[in-house]
Amino acid sequence: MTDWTHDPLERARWLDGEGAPAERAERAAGLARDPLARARIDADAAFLAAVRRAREALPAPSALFEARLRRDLAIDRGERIAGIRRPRSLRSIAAVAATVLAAAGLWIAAGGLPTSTAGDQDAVLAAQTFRAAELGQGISGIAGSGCEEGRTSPHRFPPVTAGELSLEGCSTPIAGRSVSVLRPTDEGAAPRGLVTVPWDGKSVASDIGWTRVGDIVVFDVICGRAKYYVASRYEAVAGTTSCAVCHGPARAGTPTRNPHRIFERQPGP
Amino acid sequence: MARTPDPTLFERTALPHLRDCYAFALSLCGRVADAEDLVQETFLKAQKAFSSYEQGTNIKAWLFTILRRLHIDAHRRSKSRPATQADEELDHRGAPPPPEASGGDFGPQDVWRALEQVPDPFRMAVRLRDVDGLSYDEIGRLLDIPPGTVMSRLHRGREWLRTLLVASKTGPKSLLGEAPETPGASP
Repeated sequence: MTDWTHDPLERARWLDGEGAPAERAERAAGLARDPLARARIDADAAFLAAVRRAREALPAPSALFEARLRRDLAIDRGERIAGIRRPRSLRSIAAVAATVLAAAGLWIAAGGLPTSTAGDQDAVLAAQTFRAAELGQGISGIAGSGCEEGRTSPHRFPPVTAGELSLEGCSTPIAGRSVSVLRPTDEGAAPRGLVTVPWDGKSVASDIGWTRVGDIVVFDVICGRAKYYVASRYEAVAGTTSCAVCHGPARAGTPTRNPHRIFERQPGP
Repeated sequence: MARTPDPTLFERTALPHLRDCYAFALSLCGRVADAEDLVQETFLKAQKAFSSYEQGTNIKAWLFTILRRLHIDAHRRSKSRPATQADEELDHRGAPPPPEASGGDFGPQDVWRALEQVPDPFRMAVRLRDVDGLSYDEIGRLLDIPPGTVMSRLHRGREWLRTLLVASKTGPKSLLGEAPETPGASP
């Protein structure tokens, strides 16, 4: 019997390979004896074959992502990978965090941070990173392990991905929180301090906040599952298009193409 | 004597499905960075839970289940749930007219463009069956719907798809508006 071939859902079940072996054998025998029923099936089969060719254009992840994933899986298994340190123990993370906070406290007490309106310690850390980079200390002044490779990896910061800023060094003073020094690709440009922290809320890359930390300005933006703080000297930004802080000089001349809404963060308590 | 478990078994079993997981994540998230985060989280979680994977069953369906749950959890955390509509509600948008021809002369990109315009639950069923090759049972478990609903969504989705593809060849460019970006394109 081939009555079932009049029902499109049953034709789909047949073409999708569903059904018990006995049922399929019975249906196959029926189709062999009924060319009209076979033609109905063949028409659907031609369409499905075309749809299934969509698989040929399945989007693929980048080779970089695959390499990063393999490495993260290996680290998660506890393997030691050349050039990568294993995650630190809680005790050593706490020790590093204490060192960073103590260093920041000493630096502020010594007048390194004359006036601060920052209500966000990550903005302060970005300013500190910028200051250290400007003094030529690079990332060496920041304690911690190597580059964070997870979602707070500085490699994921869009201007770094796009090649507008290059990464000079990075550190992970606190697990999951990365601190980096960036530099625009044009010769002689001043460095930028970058702090990246995890973010579980909504990505709002269109909104950019800014905070004054003494003579340093820190821009923050939420992009993907991370929040980025980029620090630069305030006088380098005041009165100019601020796009160049993150995007380099290429964007400075085209402020009308700025897709962001920029606003000042309210000072903290 | 007990055999030492192979530490790379998970990687060797699961990583061949990385591209499928990435494409599935991209279809859920819409952004490359979010899709990468979701896939990374999925594989790390799957590696930890690999002992609970039943050898011999479809590992891709197992990975997809973890991935989809993580995606839903992420939306819960951000207090916005993925948009869902009842099948009946979507049907009220108007079922597509019957196709003038079955058609088979479509390229992969034509199919992706048309698929993006198919309403969500129907698109997901077509995608999981025709692109990812999951069985009705696996789709049902993944989407938490009974097999009958899988069949009906699949049927409706393919009807939409066939109509859109025929229309793209013979009539208006789109029945539902401008075609969105092809999956995989950077945001």
